[in-house]
Amino acid sequence: MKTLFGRALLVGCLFLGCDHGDDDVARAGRSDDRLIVHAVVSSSPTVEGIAYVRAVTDVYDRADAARTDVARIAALRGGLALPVPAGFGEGDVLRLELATALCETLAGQPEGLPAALDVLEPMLRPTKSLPLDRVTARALVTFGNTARDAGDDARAVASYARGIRIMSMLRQELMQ
Amino acid sequence: MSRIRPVLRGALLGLMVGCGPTTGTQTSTVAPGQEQRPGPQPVGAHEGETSGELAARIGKLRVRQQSLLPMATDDPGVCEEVCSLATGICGAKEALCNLANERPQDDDYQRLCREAKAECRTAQDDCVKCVEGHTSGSSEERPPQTSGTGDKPPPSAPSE
Repeated sequence: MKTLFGRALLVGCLFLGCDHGDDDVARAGRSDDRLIVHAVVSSSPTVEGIAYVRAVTDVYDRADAARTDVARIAALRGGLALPVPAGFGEGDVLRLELATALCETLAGQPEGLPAALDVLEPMLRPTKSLPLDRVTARALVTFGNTARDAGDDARAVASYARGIRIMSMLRQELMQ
Repeated sequence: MSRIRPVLRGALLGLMVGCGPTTGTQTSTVAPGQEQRPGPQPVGAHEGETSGELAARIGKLRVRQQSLLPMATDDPGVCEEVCSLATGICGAKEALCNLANERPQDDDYQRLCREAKAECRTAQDDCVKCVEGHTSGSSEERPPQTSGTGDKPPPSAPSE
């Protein structure tokens, strides 16, 4: 009976995520490399979805044209504040890409590492289901680099491992 | 994809149009007052001029074209993607194992490093297989270099 319950709990953790598990892992000082993923479902174009894509494109244009990092950061933060239209699966990927760009820019700033980690951390939590996409892998590797530079080796190692697993899944998909 | 397709297209076009050395009468334009310099001479074995010889030659070229077509129509972009993922995997492995090397007693780090190394090897093998399967000997795409665990620059995130 105990085994059955344990298995059910494990399956639940794998597919639904168990928020209460975070503390246990953190307390034990281990790297939390759990990974939950979902496929990015292509949605049919909607007015809201197209408007979001256009708005994100404008954000990148402004960020690329920015003469200072401060202006670039402001532009990217503005992009992150845009609400992703409901049901627009690709929107989460675009938002994660914006966050990665913001994290990279912040990490290059003096004293910017904590702020850089704060941008990506909530989007990449081990208990959160992540889109199975190259953008996610890039975000995880960027987060790993930032955590390592900040001296947080446990988070860096876990993030690299999760990024590797996502890239592996994508590779296996291609080889089928 | 874009790096390979023009090569294959060019090769097919060459087969269909150029067809190697010509054996017929060569004509060249020489400006008045200039003497004609010897141009490039045909190379390779003489393939004949009679209709039978030419028909045999066309037959050979058709067979060769058929063998090249599958390579041209398969999507070599897949290999580019597979190899790019392999580069990303091995780059992240490098960074992970560098941290693991600093903590040889940490079982957790060592396990993750071992897993990463295995993933990197598999990804490299798949890249090589894919490139060999698509280009059979072409040096257009090269598999990512096997990396050790020495000090290297920080891994860049996998590119789009």
